[in-house]
Amino acid sequence: MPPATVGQMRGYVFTRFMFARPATDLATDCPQGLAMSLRDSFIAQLPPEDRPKAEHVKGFAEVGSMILATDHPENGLKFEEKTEPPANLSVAEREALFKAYIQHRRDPNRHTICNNPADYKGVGYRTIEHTGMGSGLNLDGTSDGAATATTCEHKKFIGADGTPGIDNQFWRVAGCIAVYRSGGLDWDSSVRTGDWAVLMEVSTPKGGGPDGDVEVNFYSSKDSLTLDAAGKVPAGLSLEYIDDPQLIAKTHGRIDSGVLTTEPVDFTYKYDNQIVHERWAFEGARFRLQMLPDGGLKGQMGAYADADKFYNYTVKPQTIDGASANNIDCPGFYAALHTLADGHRDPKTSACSALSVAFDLQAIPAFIIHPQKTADAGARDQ
Amino acid sequence: MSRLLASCRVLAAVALALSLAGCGPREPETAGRPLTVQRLTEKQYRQITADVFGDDIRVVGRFEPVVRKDGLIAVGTNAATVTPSGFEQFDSMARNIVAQLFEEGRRDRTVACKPPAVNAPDDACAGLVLAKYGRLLFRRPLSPDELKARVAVAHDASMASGDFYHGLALALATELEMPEFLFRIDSAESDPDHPGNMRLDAYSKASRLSFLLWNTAPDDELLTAAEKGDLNSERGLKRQVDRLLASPRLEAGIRAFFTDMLAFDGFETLAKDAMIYPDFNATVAADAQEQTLRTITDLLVARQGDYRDLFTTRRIFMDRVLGPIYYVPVVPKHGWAPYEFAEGDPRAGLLSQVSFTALYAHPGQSSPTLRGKAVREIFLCQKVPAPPANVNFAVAQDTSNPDYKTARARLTAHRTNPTCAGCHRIMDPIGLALENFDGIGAFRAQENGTAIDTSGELDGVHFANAKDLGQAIHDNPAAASCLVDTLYKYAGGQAPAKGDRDWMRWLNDRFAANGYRVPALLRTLALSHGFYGVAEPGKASGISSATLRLEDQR
Repeated sequence: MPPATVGQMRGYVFTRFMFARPATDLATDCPQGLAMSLRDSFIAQLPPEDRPKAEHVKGFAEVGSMILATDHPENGLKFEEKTEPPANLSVAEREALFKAYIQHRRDPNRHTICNNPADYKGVGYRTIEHTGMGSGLNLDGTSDGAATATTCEHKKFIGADGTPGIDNQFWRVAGCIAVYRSGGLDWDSSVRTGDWAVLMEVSTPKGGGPDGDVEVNFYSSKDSLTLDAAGKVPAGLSLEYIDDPQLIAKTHGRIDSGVLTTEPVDFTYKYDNQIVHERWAFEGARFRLQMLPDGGLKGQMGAYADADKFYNYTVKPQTIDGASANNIDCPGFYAALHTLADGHRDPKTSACSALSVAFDLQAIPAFIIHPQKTADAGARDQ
Repeated sequence: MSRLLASCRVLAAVALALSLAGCGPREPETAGRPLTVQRLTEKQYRQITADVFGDDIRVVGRFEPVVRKDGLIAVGTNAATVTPSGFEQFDSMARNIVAQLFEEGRRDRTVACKPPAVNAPDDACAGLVLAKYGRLLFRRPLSPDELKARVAVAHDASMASGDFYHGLALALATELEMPEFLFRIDSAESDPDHPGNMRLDAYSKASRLSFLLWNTAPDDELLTAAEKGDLNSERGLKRQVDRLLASPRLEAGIRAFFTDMLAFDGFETLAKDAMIYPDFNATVAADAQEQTLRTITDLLVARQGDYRDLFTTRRIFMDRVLGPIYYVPVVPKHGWAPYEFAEGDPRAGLLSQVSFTALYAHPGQSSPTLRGKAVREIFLCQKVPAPPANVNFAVAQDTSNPDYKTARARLTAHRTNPTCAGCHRIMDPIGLALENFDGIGAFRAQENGTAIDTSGELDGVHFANAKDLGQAIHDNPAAASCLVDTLYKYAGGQAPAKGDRDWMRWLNDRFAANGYRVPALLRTLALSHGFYGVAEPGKASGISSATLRLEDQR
């Protein structure tokens, strides 16, 4: 597929924009096992004789409905109607268990602990500690993770190809959570449902050859992607970007032997899915993308993201009761984000408040439409 | 000085008038054509309904297909009938239409008069309504007997139901079910200008004009002109023809003609293998047709261009549905925008558009043979014989054979069969020029890793690629004369008569003299005597410009 060129700029749309996940096994990454979930920690604090009952209670996944039934009777939902009592539990016993579980997730003021994670302590939360194989880019330029003027001391990973100095503190935080390991948190599925997409423009290399210095622009798509009959995003879509300075990032880059690398750039994109509507802000984002024979790109983005915002984007908004869908121990997750923060070092306190993170990327050619051209064309539209 | 200027103005006006009137060699006499009875197409039915009753009236139902004959649906309508099940559909549609017309809140717009009592017949009011709509639906006034019969239906139904409007609705529905509405029925009268000959009567003339130029029934003004006899005078006919040609509705007429000529009804059953062509879907199919029709009306109507330029134009219209297939940027999110292919782009002209390359291809691969045949038959009016029943297509269609990586290689192997060679020799070179466009019309430089050779020859003219082929067709005299033939057949539902060779030649000459402008050709046709001439039964037989060319060559 030839480049999708408008003027001197070749356009791309990212069809994959997913947290980087190395091909490492659980035993290596998390020798003590997966991080405990809220449900796990609830069961763990029950009297031993009650734990088997709780293990067999169906419907913990329906905790959201349960909360609606108990907190919002005006909806007409009843606990009994939403769940099926198991043979060994009466409805009353079951209701008591659920209420206890909800209490476990809430503070005395009935606020979910996922809304105030800093006020609680995680139970049995686990992170990746090793310095073996990981996935991402070297963001701080060090090989050992020693503190710099802008970063805090941290451990490094080694890339699958042996590249040392890989920074990805977010993977340390999330790598022992089942849903992150399984890929079940299909972050970019909403790209394919047309909710959001990141666009990129790359200028033709200076000098006229395939390699050379380039200008690189990033945008958030205003248009939804469409799929072909095979369920894939077709190359050659025309996509207009959102004309908002916050969502436009421009940087320099270079293509060498078919690999595009960019200089760090602060980069924000608009993320939308059914329940999350956020602007993801990244600092010092670097891209490394291999140009593929089919005209597409494949590679990674490495960047720093604010720990609090990270929490707000990934865990807090997931359900009405916070994190119930993925059973993440909110206090543990939140604490790990701050403990393992390696970027955005405060010169006064020397504390870091941002985490390195990496995303696996894939892009295909797309024609990037500049908004002002749309306005011009509107008059011509027939 | 002022007198001189005034004289000049008069001379200029006269020159312009002569030019507009298509001055030139005198129109030859024609043998005339037999009267025709053509069933309305679905498009015409829907358009008439919208014109007569309003755009908001929904027509819900299934139309029986019309068999394409002599290359055109319009000719097929000349032989189309209505089966019992088809009549049931028309009955259902008619009842549904009148139900909408008599809905609360709309009834007063439908029925201008007020009956003294709603629970009893009112023949006077019913007669007014049925005469008004009957005239527009039958494309002529109802005869007194016809009107009396319709009013009787309304009367009886009103009596039986105790509801005036119910009875009137039923009678109006019967007008929508009658042959006089469902069929365009020619009617003839003696031609006073040519004693002993017949001509179409004024209402048939009006219908022929309106269906040709607007693809719908005559409007009130045209029917009134027919009523007054204006259409039998040169001046009156000219006034109406020029009015119809100047109307924005001409575009609908041009669209209908080219939709028929390009056989776009084929899209209704067109299927592509989604595994091979995942980009193709029903929206692409619909927009591909729209793209071509926009290209055509833009060139021929809006810009009054040369018909032959359709084969070479780089100007096209694009939307975001088609953008990925053409692999070009499309600025407007919704709707269409003009797009011009660059000088060096491999695409130019209708033959490189998706509507042609996708329609004339197999579900899973391109087809130089289908494309070549279509060019010969549609654009050059040259009939290609059907293949023998026992032909073996195995080699031609096996795209995985490593010995024959390209369509050219496969067809070359296929042509070793002498039975096939003759026809393929006239089809394949044309189609192979379009091999850069795959089964849905997307560009490809290679097939199975082998560069595609698009060179060939058309009637002695060599070409290197699709653009050159378009130029060769543009320059081929058969392209223009084929359009004249096709337009004549479309307009009258039948081929010109053998005795009309001089007349067809005249029509071709006028087309050329007017710069191959289709509106000018329509005007020449619509103002000609030959267009309305009626032959005695059994005396006419068909010819074509292809026949004329063969005779010329002898």
